[in-house]
Amino acid sequence: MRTENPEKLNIENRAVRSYMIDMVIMLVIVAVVAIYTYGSRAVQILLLTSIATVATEAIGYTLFMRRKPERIFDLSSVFTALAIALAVPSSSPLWMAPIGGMFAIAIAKLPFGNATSTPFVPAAVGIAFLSVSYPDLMFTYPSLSIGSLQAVTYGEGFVSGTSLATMLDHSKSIGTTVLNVLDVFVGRIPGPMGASCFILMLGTFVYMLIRGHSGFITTASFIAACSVMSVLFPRVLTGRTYSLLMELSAGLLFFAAVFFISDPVTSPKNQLGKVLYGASAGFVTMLFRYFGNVESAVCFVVLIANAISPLFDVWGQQLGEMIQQKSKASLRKPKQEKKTNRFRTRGEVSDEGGILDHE
Amino acid sequence: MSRNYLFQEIIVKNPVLIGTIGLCPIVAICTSLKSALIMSAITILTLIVAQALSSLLLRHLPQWIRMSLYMLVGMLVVVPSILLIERLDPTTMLALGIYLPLLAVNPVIVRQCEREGVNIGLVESLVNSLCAGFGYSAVLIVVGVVREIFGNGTIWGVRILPIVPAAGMLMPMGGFVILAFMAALLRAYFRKIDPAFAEELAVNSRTAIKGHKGLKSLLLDMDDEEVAPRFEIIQMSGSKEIDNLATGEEDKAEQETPNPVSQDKKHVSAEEEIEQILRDVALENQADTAEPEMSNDVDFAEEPALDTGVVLESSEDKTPKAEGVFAKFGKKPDKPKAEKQPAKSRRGKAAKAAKTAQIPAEEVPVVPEEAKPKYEFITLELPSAAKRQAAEKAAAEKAAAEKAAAEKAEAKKVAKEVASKSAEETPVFAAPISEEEARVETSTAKKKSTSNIVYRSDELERLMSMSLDDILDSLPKDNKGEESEK
Repeated sequence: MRTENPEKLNIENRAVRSYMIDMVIMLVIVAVVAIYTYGSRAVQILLLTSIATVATEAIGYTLFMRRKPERIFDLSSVFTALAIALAVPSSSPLWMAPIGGMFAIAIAKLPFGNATSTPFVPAAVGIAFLSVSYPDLMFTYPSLSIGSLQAVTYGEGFVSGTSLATMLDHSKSIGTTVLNVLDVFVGRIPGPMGASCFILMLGTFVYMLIRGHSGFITTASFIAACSVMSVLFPRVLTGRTYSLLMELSAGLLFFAAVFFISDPVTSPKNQLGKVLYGASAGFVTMLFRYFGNVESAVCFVVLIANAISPLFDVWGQQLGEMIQQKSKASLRKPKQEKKTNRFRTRGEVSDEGGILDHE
Repeated sequence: MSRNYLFQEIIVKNPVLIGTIGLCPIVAICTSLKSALIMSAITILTLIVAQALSSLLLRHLPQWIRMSLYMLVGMLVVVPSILLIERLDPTTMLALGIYLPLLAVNPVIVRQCEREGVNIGLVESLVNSLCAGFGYSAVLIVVGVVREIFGNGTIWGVRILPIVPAAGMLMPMGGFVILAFMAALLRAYFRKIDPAFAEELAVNSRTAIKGHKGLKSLLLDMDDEEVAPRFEIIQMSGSKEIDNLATGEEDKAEQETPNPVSQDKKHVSAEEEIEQILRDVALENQADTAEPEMSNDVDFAEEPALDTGVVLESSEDKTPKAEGVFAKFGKKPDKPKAEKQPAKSRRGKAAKAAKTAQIPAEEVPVVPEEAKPKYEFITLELPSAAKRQAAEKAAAEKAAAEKAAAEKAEAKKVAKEVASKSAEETPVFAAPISEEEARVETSTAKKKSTSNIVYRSDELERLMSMSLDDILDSLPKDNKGEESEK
């Protein structure tokens, strides 16, 4: 078995791990709340998905890539597994999320090598594959108004609840079904396992801000664009604030914004490019919601944006140069020392530097 | 036949997996074995008819007419076959929708006809089209079977798997994924069999595939012009205009493209190259004054007529035997060209005259060394200070050691040259120069000629924040030549 250069392996592992640890911590917190809401079913799905995904990666590395499976310790497959497991409803069969995880790793990560060279976010690929292949299993959620979650499998005795996304889509208003806003905040509405609790999503957002991740700007611009669109074109009759709240908490929008859009490997490196990337992704997501007939469209939009993210890099750079030239009336002082910008990762020195960049 | 079309079209030059064309029908409707077979039948029929027509009739037309005629020929073949399928199996035809008529404009047709059909005879083109159709069909069938198994659990409607593994395979997503893995497997196979060809394919698939020659008529030898990069041709003649006169689709037959850079493997010194370029410049001036009127007319009637089915193999086959299965498909070193037919159009004649005429050496102006431009080299380094300093130290030590050795060798050379010169001519101030003086001379000459400017890290950051104009203003203004060239 071929061993890689151990120094390079260590450095790359450490770099990816330093970012992924934060993401995995966030996902674990979300998973804890999901377990609290959904019980043992959530534990089963999470464990099975993690084992299947990590095993796929280890097998792929040893058998097909002839390397030692030390790269699983960079926690990127764990992140993928948890993200897919938390995006899946609690009533899905136990084999569905593991298959999504295996597909994501085998097709969106292994052919490209390590976690730093994937052009698409593997978790988004897995969720998109599941949405396309098993739409009925993926988008029926168990009803939480019934006391306990006994009949949680999609089968006999199963009562499905309508998620916020469906309500927004079909009835165009939440007037007939009276929703308690506190339910929406706490997450007692039907939805994907990890994405229902709005306060938790806001908490992860704030955590990203505190830790100073470079993807915070992308996420913030994504959410800003979604908010602007939902305020301008409300689908809810009870007012614009409620429209904002409902749109942001319906489906996987906030989840994907925090975890997939902010991925430094696939998003552009230029700061202005990040803003453009997040804003256009948010805009297109809302368009999908208004005019598309698919329930959860964020993951598709994430994949589209990943495909054209170098373009945003170029546009951001050109836009920055244009702005610089226009404001070049006064001579700019040379920077004497580089200030520590809070929203850059530790490896990045400049916009085009860093270990997590494509080479 | 001198080529193995079957292996070549299916494996080496597979239009889908290596040429990456014709993906739309595959991805959209090739979701079962039945549709794969229907599509492959239509494609093979279209290819045969189109390539036969192109080798018989269409080769005499210019290219811009040919492209629209391929579409017409495709329609002529596909529309009746669709009507036939409608009679036999209407449900399948409706299920395939618009993508079945889309096979009329399959890019595989244009590719095969343009690359092979207009160059080879009827019998050859029939075989070639059949093999290309087989190549396309192989991909179609594999993709169809895999997608049907994974997406439906059936083969030709017969249930094989009890459950449906993944319905997403029936969608274009699955098609693309399967095509990607097939292409990767094919390249892995190449790497196992012939690593050199696989590397070349990875770098530039067009030249790798085009480099292989099989049946080639003497007159339509297009390889060197398309494969060789443009700058080599410019080096040869020293001017773009002479080349632009000759290059054109009509005059490809009359063009001679000897490639002195790659053919002659002698070491050509810089002075000789400059003399060659100046000679060609003088030739160009001659050619301009000789024939001022150049018309861009093309004479169709003067194009050489080609015999069908002519096998031409040069007896002087000096190519070395390369290793690997794909030796004949790889890029070969250039052979010496046989004599071409005389040029028929005025443009071709002028080009020929310009290239073959020679100027006596007396008329070539000699450029003294002082007039040759000297360039300053500016090196910018990255601001990681520790690495740079360490690298600088190591480089400086190496450079110092090398300098000492080089200076000694140069001093010896200079002394020899002076001694030889003094033997031939008798200059006025002929004094034997010792080694030390020669070394001093060479070192001072070096210091004057080149100046390496290296910037420190903080200076570099300051420079990065400045615009280009400011940087250029702040440079030392020693080079008058560079400023005037702005």
